[in-house]
Amino acid sequence: MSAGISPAGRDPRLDAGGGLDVEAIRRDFPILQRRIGGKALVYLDSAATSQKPRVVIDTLVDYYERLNANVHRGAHTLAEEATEAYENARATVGRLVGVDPSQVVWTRSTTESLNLLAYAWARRHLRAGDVVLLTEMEHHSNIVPWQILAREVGARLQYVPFEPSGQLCQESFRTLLSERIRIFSVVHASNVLGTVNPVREMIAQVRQAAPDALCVVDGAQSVPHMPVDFEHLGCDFLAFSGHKLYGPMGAGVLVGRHQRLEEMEPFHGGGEMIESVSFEQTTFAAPPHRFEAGTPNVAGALGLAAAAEYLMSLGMDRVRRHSVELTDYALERLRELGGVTVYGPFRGELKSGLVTFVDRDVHAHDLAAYLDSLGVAIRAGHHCAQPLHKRLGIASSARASFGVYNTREEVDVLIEGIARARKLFGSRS
Amino acid sequence: MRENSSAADPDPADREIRQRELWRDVLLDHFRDPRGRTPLAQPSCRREVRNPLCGDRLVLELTLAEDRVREVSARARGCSLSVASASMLAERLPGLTIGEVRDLSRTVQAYLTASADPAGEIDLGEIEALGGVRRLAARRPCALLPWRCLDTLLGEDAGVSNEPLR
Repeated sequence: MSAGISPAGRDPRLDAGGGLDVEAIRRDFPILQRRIGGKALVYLDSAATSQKPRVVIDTLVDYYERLNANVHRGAHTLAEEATEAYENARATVGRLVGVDPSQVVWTRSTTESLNLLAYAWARRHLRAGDVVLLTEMEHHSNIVPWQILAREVGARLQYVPFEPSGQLCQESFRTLLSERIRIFSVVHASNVLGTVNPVREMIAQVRQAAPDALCVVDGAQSVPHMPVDFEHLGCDFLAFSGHKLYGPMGAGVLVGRHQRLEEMEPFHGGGEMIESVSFEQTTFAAPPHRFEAGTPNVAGALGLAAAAEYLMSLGMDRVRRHSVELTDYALERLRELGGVTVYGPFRGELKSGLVTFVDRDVHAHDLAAYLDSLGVAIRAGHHCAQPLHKRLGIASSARASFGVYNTREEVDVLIEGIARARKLFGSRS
Repeated sequence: MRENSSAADPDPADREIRQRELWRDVLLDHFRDPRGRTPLAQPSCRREVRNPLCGDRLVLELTLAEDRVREVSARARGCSLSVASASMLAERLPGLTIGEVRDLSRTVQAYLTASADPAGEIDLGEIEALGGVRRLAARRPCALLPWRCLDTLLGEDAGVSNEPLR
């Protein structure tokens, strides 16, 4: 990507030491100029959705100003150009995770990607008595579709538990391995604990026990923050969202292994996904278009590709390093502050750029509302992971999550805000 | 009124923030020192509810005699808004007739959901301090929880149908 590169050829967003120049990166994100109640915005909710760089916003505008046409239809110039841009975007996003464009299926979100699998693959292959193996740290979107399906066909759901350290219990996992496993769907990085799971090793073990099992990775919280290589994971499918990856909302991805994509029935029926239709029957298009019924979100796909380019231009190794350093700093500051219980591993290297905690004195919702008055945006609640919170024995928690644009100074503002919130709420008898 | 009882007021900036935001002094006072926390020995009716979104819990007990509320216990565990709201409810109810309680509850809920101004026939008094949630839809269930619980409790007792919470 040429945007942002100085005449000397050095990208000002990269520092000489293999890290990121965050001040330069921040200038790429227009929303960071906003003030909240007179205070500078401190955005620490990137795990919910990341902010968007100028290049992504410009891509959306440019598409509608210059290219807009329906893709894979008409023979006019605009349709040609839109189609080419749309398919190029597929290739770009594929490059981010090391796959061929023919393996990239556009969806709306991680949630839709997982539902697509549940309906288009599992509905046909899952039988009574089969096991769907999940973990206790799944987002609702990687639980509910499987529950619905399991109830329909009489399959069983099993969950790998996690230890107090916030890591999956590998011993329990091994006891759950069996040839009955038909689907293994696991979160790469927990949206609450931050834990980065050893999915490659776990998938290899599942395959030993159940060679035909479908292995799925929820990459919503990992792909934006670290190098992820589809082949290296060894999974059949990888799902992730555009909007957590500095791309627009409403554009997500399902990456699949060729053979699995081939054996899968369509998810939705309609235009775009057909080869030929008569009143009696339909021949379906080849993957990935087979799973993309109807007019797609072309602008979203282009925006997501622009975001992927943006990340690749920074370098995922640098992105990861920044995330680890900032997480370590936040964990250290929380430790100094005291009076909070931090959930998940206590080392940035084991996490995906977030800290989740409960304050001894201040309810998570009070904390989030108070911090908002200081311009600080964090998440409070169960983060769409109620079973996980139940396992932790808490109803809700506070979460600060980081992106490429966050600084140590912003972590300091968070910590000071927590201390101030305690003065306000903490003197309860 | 306890508007000036600023026992813990360490930071002028905080004072400004909480006046502007949700936390008026009277609300914080109810939060720090909630009324009606003692369980009733022989309640006429009792109900326990949760706000599934944030896990807030509330146990509400009433003793009724001759169509009037005599004693109230409202034990909330949750954020400042739900605790303060329960405390205000516990302080306000004793002595009211069932009909008056129903009118009050209706007025409070209309006020908190911003569908009516507080200037009605019923003076809300300290309960007005919960008004910050009127423009914060996400926090409304916290402040409403005790009142909705009260509705179901009275509904049960008076044979009126229960409405689901939330």
